[in-house]
Amino acid sequence: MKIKYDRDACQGHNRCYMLAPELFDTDDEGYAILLVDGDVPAELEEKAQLAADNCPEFAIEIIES
Amino acid sequence: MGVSDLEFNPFGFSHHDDPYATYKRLRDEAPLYWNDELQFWALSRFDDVLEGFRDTELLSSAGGIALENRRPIGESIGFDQMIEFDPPEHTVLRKLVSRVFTVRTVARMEDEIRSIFTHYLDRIVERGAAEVVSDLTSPFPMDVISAVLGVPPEDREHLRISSDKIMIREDGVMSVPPEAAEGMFGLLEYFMADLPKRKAGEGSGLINDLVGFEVDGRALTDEELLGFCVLFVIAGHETTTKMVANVLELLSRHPEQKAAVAADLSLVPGAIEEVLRFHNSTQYMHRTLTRDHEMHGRRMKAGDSVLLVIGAANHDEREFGPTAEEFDIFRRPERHLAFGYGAHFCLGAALARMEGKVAVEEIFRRIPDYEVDHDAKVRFHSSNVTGWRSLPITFPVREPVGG
Repeated sequence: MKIKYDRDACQGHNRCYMLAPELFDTDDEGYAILLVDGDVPAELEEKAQLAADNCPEFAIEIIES
Repeated sequence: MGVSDLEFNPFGFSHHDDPYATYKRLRDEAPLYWNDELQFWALSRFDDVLEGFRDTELLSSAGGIALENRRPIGESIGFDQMIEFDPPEHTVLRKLVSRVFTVRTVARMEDEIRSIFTHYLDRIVERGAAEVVSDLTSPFPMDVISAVLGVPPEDREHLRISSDKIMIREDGVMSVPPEAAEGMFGLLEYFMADLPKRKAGEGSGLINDLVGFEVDGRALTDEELLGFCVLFVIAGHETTTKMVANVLELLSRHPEQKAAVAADLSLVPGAIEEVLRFHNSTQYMHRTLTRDHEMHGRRMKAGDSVLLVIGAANHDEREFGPTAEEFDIFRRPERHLAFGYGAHFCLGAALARMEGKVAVEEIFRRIPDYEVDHDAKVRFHSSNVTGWRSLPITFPVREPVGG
């Protein structure tokens, strides 16, 4: 599983950071920073999905490999 | 479609007592419901409401966000709130203030929020009885948002009383009663007198920041500044006041879950999340159609009113399964629509969650054995905000801790 994050769509709602801090950080203005490069560790796949489901801007996409 | 006895009137006091039976019928029998008397459509299924929030091109906020305040798209009411703007104008204004309410900024406020709440809790613990709303849940979020805005302590009571009045509605009546207009006038009058002082350099806080901000090379207009002030006061106080009281009331009616929270405070965030889903302060948002549109086999016209019924969507079995209508703090809903969705997703969501967490934790730390006097509680009647006007509780007398 990979995560695709669209910085332009992000409006800084912080939902991903709240729900999956292992996968997302935020900058000072609240925009998300994707912390994983490449495959999401198996134990965090559920959290990745949770973050994607909760993004109000649909800025996070899950790509199943 | 045949004649139906299904009626959804968001202004009916009897509807406020139990909206959920009506909501279920809306979802099952009339997913796109038309109220001919009040001239509005209502969407009630989770997927429809979510998509309604997302599609700001189809469903505009610029015609007002409450049914009773609707007006032709773009008509000015003297103050411009970003909540009643659409992208891209909305995006520009929101960017100015989004950093103030991020999860991180809010996390840094936790100690201050806790000391504010403890102050109010200390005033009641020796009494053995309290009225939750006026003693605790109403003054405390007003203090928090006032601290952010830079409203001096001596002015907060006036703003709080004005803001409370704004939401008041009469049974079954859509028009705004004089008391509510008076409340709005109270807020506007205060900030119209306050803003020139801020511009002259008096005071500090978010209002002063706003006065100094520029968008597209110009300062914010007076209408925009007033819009921000009014929005922050109302949104920062009203829904949180109701939400925290709703948590206490709902837990008292579910004694096993209340005992579980008392035994393990780490359950508090889950309990708050379930209250947001199960009985959200904000029951619906109003939108205006920008063009003709067809849904569920019915044709809607440009300019029509559409209600996105959050309270109904959050009970949808299609999203939350067969137990959707049950209150369960262990549910951990993966998503819900309490704070809306998309561009207008509640700016203060992180702050509201933090305020709720701190308040409920402190109550369960100090008076976990509180009991609600269910015969004496009084409902708050509004069109889209639900909660308690008065929620009396009793508990064994305790010592204040100071703070």
